[in-house]
Amino acid sequence: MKYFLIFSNCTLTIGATRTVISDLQENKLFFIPNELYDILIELKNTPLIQVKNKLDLETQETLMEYINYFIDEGIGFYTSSPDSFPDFPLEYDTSEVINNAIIDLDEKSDYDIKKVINNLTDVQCKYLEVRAYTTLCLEKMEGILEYCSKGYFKNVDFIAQYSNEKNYVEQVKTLVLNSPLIGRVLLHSAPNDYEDDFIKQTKAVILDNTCCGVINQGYFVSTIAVFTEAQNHNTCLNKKISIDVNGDIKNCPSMSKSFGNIENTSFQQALKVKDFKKYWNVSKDEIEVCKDCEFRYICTDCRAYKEDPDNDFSKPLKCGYSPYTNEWEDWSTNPLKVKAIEHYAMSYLNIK
Amino acid sequence: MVLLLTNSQHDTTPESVMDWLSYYKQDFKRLHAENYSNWDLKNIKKVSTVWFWRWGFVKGLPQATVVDNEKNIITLNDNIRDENKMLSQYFMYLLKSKNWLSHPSSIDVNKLIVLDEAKAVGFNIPEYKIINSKKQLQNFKEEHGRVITKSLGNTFPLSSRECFTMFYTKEVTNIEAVSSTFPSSFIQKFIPKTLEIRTFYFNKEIFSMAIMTPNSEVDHRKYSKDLRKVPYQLTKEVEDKIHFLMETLNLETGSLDFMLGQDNLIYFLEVNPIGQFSMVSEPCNYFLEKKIALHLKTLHEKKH
Repeated sequence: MKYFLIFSNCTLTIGATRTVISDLQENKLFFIPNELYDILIELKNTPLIQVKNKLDLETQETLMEYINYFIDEGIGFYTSSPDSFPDFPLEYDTSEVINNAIIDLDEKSDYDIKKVINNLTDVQCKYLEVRAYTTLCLEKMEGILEYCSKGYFKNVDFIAQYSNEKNYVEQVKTLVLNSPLIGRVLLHSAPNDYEDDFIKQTKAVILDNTCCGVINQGYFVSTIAVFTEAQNHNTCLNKKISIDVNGDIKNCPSMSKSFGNIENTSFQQALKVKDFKKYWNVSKDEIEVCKDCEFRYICTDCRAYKEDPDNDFSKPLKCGYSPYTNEWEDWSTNPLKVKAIEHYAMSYLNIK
Repeated sequence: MVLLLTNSQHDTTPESVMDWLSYYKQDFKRLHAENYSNWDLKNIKKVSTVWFWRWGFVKGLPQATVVDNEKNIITLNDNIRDENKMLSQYFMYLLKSKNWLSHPSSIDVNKLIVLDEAKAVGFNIPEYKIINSKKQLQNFKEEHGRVITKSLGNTFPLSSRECFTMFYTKEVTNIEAVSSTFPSSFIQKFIPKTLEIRTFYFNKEIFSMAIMTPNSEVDHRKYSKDLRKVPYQLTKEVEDKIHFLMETLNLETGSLDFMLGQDNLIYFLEVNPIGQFSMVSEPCNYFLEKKIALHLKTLHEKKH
C-alpha cells in the first residue's frame, strides 16, 4: 500500500484560518488551507488511495496537486511503511541554567560589567547581547569579549550608537573579523543605512529599552531549537536574564520588576527569588490571539509590552498580525493600541 | 572525576557532552593525545571514569625531516609513532582499573569479522568478495551487475594545497582501466536503495535516523545538497539483531550503517565503534549528548 507522508521535521501548525508547515531542517515555511491539515493527519496512517476515495473528484485533484508540490519542495514523500517514520520528538532541554542575557548600558551606567559576566559564567550563559544607547568605545568591547572568553559563551552581539570618531567603524570591523565570539554588531543613530558581512548600520535611533519587543516575519525562526522550546516555554524570556542601565537584575530590561542590583545580588540568588521564572513557562498556547496563530511555535514573544498592560496573557503590543484575517498591519498606528502605547511611554514613536 | 580522552582540542564534538557534565556538576578533565604528556600522573587517582572518545591517530607528532633519503624519513617517522604508541599504551594501562565508556581494547574492530558476525546474527548483507585480479572482478561483476568498492581500514583524507580527497565508497565502472592484478580489495554488490539509515547504539538503546539519499548516489557524503534527515524506527526484529550483534562484538556503543533497498529489505553495511553521535542526535532531537553525560555520571557514582 502506498502512503504519502510529510517529513516529520516539517511540522504542521494549524491556526484560526490557515496552517503553516515549518520545515525545521531548512528554516522554511509553507502555507496550506486548514482542510488539508486534517487530510495530512489522516494520511499518516491511512493509505493514499483510501483517503482519496472518500473525496470528490475536484478535491482529489487539488490534493494530488499539493502532494506533487510537497514532493517538488522536498517536504513530503511516498512510502510503504509509515510506521518507520515516527512523529518528530518535541522534547526540549538545555544544558545551561541561563541560556541568554541582555546587558543594557547608557551614559550613566556605572555597574561592574566584569562582575555581570562572571555571574553569567556561573550560570553557563551561552548567548549575550550588549545593548548600548550611547557609543561604546573599542576598548570596552574588547574588555567584554575578554571576560566572555573564559565562560561558556558561543556568541556575543553588540548594539551601540554610531560614533564618528576617526576609524571607529573600521576598527569595529577588524574586531568582528578577529573575534570568534562576536556575532553581529549593529550601530544605531548612523548617518545612513548600511550592511556588510561584519557590521550593520541603521539611521534608526535607539534611545532606551522601549525599542524592544517588536514582532514581525523577520523574527520567525523555523528550527528544532525554537519549535521545541515554544511548545511549553516562553520564546523570549525562558532561561533569560538581564541587567538594565542601572545594574538591576531583571527578566528583561523592559520589565519593571527588579530582583536586586548586581552590586549586591548574584544571579544565583536572583534566580531563587519567587517569580523570577514566572514567565518562563508562559507559552504561546496560553497567550490571547497567539494561541490561534499559525506562527505560534516559530515566533518570539514579549511580556514587557502587551496590548493590555495589566494582563499577563495579553497579546504582544508590537505585533501587527491577525491570525483571523492573515493580514499584517502597522501596530503603532492601530487606534486600539494607543492607550497601551501611552502607558509604556514609547519615546521613539514620538520622535517620528 | 571523569577523564575525557580526545585527539585534539579542535574536535568540538565532545563539547556538548562536557556542557551537560557541567550542568550535572560533574568534575571532568579533557586531555588531548597531542599534548597530554604535561598532565601530572598523580591526578590519576582522582579519576573514576574514562570517556574514550578518540585517541591515537595523532597528527601533531614531531616529524623527521632532515635525513639523507626518503625511505629513512618514513622509517624514522614510523619509529616516532611507535614510541608514542608505547607511551599511550602505558597511559591506558595506568587507567585500567577505572570505569570506561568504551575501553580501547574493545573498539578495534575488523570490518570483515563484523560482516561474518552480522551474517551469523541474520542480517541481510549485500554479496561481497575480496578480489585481487581483473578476471575475478569481471566474474563478480558478471554475476552481480553493478559493484562498489570501499576501504577495510580506517582511512584518512588526503589533502594538498589544491585538493582534498576522502576515501569514499565508490562504484567500480571502468573495468578496462583496472590492471590485471591489484592489491586485495573489498568489492560488494550495488543494491539500489530507498534511503540510508544511521543508527547510534548506546547503553543498550537504539537511535536511528533516515537519510533520504538520491538512489544514484553511492556515498551520500559526496552529495552536495542538504539531504533530508528524520527519525527512523527500525522494526523490533532488526533492533533485536542489533542488540545481539553489539553484544557479540562486545561493544557498548557504536554507529551502525544500514540501507533500505528498493526491494524493501534492510541491509547491514558496517559498524563504527566510536560513532558520531551528534550527526544523529541533532537532526533527530534525541539528546544523546545528555544521555552520554548522564551515563558518565552514573559510572562516576558507581565508583565512589
